[in-house]
Amino acid sequence: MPQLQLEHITLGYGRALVIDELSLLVRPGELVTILGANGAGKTTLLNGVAGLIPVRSGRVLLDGENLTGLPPEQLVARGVVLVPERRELFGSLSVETNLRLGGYRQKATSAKTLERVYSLFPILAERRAQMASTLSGGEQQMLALGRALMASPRLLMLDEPSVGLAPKIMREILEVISRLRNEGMTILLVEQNARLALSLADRGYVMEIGRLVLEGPSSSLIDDPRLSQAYLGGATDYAAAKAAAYVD
Amino acid sequence: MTHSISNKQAALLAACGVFLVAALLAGVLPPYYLTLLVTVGITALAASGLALLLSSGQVSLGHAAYMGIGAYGSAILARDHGFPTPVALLAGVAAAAFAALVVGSVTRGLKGHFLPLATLAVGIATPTALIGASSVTGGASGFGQIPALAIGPLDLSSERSLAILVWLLVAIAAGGLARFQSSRMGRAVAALNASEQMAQVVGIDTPRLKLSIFVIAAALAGLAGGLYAFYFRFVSPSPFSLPASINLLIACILGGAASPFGAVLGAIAVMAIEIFLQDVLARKLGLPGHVEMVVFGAVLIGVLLKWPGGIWSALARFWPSFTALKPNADAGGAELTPSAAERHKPHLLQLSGIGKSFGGLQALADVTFSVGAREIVGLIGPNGAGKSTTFDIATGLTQPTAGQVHLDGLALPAKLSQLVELGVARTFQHVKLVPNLSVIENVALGAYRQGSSGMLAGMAGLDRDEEAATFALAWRALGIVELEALASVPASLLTMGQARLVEVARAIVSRPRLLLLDEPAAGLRTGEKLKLVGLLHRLRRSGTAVLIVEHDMDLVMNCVDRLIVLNRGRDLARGTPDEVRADPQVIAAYLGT
Amino acid sequence: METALFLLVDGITSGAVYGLVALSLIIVYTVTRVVNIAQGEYVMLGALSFASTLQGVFQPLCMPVAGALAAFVVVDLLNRHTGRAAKLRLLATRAAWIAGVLAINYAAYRSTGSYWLAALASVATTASLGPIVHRVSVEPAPNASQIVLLIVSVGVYMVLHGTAAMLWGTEPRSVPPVADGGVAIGPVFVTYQSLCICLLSLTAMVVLYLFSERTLVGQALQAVAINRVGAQLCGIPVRWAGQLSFAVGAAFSAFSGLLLAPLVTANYEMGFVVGLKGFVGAALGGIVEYPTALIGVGLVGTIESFAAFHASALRDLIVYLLVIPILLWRNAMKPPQDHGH
Repeated sequence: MPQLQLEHITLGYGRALVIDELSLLVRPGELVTILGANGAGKTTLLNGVAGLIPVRSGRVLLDGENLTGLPPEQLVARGVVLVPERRELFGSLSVETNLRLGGYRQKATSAKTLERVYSLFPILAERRAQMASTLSGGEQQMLALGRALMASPRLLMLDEPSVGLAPKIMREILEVISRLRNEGMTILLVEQNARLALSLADRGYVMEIGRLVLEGPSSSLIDDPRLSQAYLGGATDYAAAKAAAYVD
Repeated sequence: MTHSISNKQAALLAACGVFLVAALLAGVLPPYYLTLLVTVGITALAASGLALLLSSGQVSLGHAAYMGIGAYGSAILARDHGFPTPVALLAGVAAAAFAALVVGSVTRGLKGHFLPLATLAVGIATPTALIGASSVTGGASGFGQIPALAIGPLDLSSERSLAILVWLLVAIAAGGLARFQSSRMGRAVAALNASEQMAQVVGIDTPRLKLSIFVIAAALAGLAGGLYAFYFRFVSPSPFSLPASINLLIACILGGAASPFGAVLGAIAVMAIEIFLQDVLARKLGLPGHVEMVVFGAVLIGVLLKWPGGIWSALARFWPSFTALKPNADAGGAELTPSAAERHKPHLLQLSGIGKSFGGLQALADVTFSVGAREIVGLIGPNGAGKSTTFDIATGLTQPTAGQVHLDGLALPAKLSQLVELGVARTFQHVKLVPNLSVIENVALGAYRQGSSGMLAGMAGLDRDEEAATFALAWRALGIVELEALASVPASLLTMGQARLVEVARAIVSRPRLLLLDEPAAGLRTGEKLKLVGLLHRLRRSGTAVLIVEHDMDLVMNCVDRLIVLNRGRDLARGTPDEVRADPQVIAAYLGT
Repeated sequence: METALFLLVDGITSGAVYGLVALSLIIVYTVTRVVNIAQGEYVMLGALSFASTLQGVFQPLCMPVAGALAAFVVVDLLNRHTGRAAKLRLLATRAAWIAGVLAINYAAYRSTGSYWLAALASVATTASLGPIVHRVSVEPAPNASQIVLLIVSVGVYMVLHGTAAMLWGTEPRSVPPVADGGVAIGPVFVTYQSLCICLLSLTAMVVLYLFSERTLVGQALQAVAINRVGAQLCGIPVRWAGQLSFAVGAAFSAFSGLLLAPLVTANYEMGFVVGLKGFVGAALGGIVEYPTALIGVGLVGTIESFAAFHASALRDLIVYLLVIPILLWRNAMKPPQDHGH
């Protein structure tokens, strides 16, 4: 399983600069989580690594191999697979078709991997002939994860897999993620639910408006007061700006 | 001393230039080339109307149909019913306009690709109908003996004088439409193209505007058709058939639909390329006609792939950009705050028991809160909590499935475009500015409802006073957000932070009593955030009610009076920032369990 | 009654052919969002290739197609970004492709009069034109608006039209029907040609259906049409998908040209009108959902046939005037969504 290294990554949409000179490391077989409030740029970062947004400067290295600037299809072929925040499933196609399409670049091992995915998510096996859009939110998330696994990822990236899910389903999915990590997969998990993510992860980074502000092993991060500050504020001093509004 | 001209003056100069050159050519060209000159003029006239239509975000794939209606209408009335020729010409224009009114109204509700298909159907059905109604129209062979155009004592039967008339009208149309772009209605059309929702939020009645533009575009085509009839003294269906419509589109897109002068350039370019190819390929190299077609196609592909905005986009940097003069500092009078009466309403906006479900999913349940004058209320919550849905319901973009929204005790108006008159202004999560207009013009859009100049006033320049007042307001708003230095910059070049502040400026120009901001801090740098907080406090002080949805806790905690926290579609907590920050339920919601 | 049945058969036959063209338009549009004004030209090119090959002429389109493919191979090999292994694979597949096109045309040339070889050669060569056109006219401007891409396709139409005239001249070429005579089905007499057309069209549609629904490649194309981002995240290359959709579209259009050729003679102007009717059919039926498009074209064909008999001058008018009410009806039933591309 490889190591992911981001070196001084800068990227954004159109003219907006969202990520500014960010560097991070995910060691082989680690589960690293990136935390932060909404709007911090976590999704943008993952989209950049997955090749959906161009990286303006900096490098993306997988086991030392420079992957910067490659289009998404070639990144998937090299084992960099993203489960996006909105899942991006093919609603009018069946569950099984969605899964098989996930294995598009791994046609040789596709049948075996499919069996594996069905054993991880038995409910998908049950619903294999159903149209993807008829699945519940939790089932769709499982399908998105299953589809990603069909590509035999070496680096798996997950963008807020827990959003909008009932706690019970969330736990089921996170259990699968935990299992994958135990089997040695390198995983980058972006989450808003800090406590849940830190309970799984080896290490965590905290992002605030395009930059990393905190880093450390999960055990110490969990109790760090700066973590709640990142979510609930307290860093910038607005006092002077406020006062000025009431003068004159 | 360098003297730069405004873009309105440039339009006037360009129009005069076009006319003078054309008139000169009309005087000296031999007959064959004179006909070409007139043909290009007629195409340019119709194409400039089509360019106007395209700039409003609409399409007409069968536009030559309206030329045909104008041509046949004028010809039949003049020849068979003894109408005086100028009256017949105008009647032809009216017929084309009326046809567009009918088609536009009927197809109003068509969505997606259905609308272009409908316009295509019109473009095919009209010449087919002209062939079919042979007793009136002479069928596929058409008819001749159309009398000469005579306006009063002026005898325009000579081809040269008619050519001059055609190009006079082209110059007026192109110049007028170019000047129109820098007027109140011109800005409204550009806004319509950028985002229909945003246009409605600043008070533009978008269905009506779309229809008006469509009718005008058809009228210009009808005029072009009528002139065709009176020049050639002969009409038949084929010059108004589908290939002719495609030709118009080619002229428009190749020339550049962004400006009416682009359309004129396109019409000239198409003719020029054809002549050049005929001359070089056919005459000099002796190659058969098919080679011309291949080369034309190749040129078309090549130019458009390199410059998708057409020839005009390659030349546009030589055209002066819009500038609005800043009024004198002591001009005063431009106030942007609500009136005294408004300043004491405690429940200006009230949401009661709001519920919303999408299919089987319950996105919101029983959300209740209010926002009053002189206060800033923050709506916060983790991702997926339902803040955006609530916000859209509060601004009338979405209808709740349960509960009500009241503005000053009354239900929200049926049409989104009526909100701004009631003193409600909002910004968008994904900033919606008009990219090709300058910053100051974007801000001036916010004052749309405070003006009344129509299209003609805009073209003729009769709106000077109103424009001055509008821009005085715009400058004031731009000053409040401290971005005066960027006034002439095209909005497409702004950073995210600057764009957000410009959107706020646009919102305050309408002098709202209720301001709704959707994630205004996203993408802002620290300095810009400080500016924003200061601005919000100034607004609060002057009596405006503010509702802000935000993720940036720092900013929200520092500028709101109270907070409403949503989680999973329900009210979770409310109170002052300190109360909320210490609430264990809120902490759990954000940081997880 | 007999007349009505006869007209119905006639209508179904033409409808079947327009249906293939409608399907081509739909595949191209859903995958690439390009409204392909030039689609009818592939019909014409298929028909003319077929006619001239049967007459013993070496496929005029063969060398231009092979040449263009070879030129692309050179350009791709010079690309610094692809690795050596990828380049070798590219060279191998492209060489096989070019060799295939040359071989089949040569074989058809040598066995003059062989219906099936001529058919295969025409379809294969015209289909190969699809990816070439995509590469030249769609890929260079990925951010161009739909109306600009539409006008670019008009440019493509001009290039193809002019090239066809240069390669084949403007005289129509007749094509012998696959079999003479016919059979009486109940009260009406149906020619073998009509039967053949209907059967083959149906077969082609079934093949297309199976391809889209049952093969991974076909499903991948659907995936790109349904959700481009999702498809990219599965590793499906969208550029290749665009080229493939153009190839499939060209193939089916060429095939319909083959079917039409014995009926209307292969002629240089046939593309425009057939393309237009396919367009109307696709519009009536739904440019995105092809099962309903088939009903649409069936409708077009049948109405056209009946109208021609009863009021020939107004035939086309009736067909085109019906478009707007039908669009309004469909809009009320289920308005088209914006497949954000």
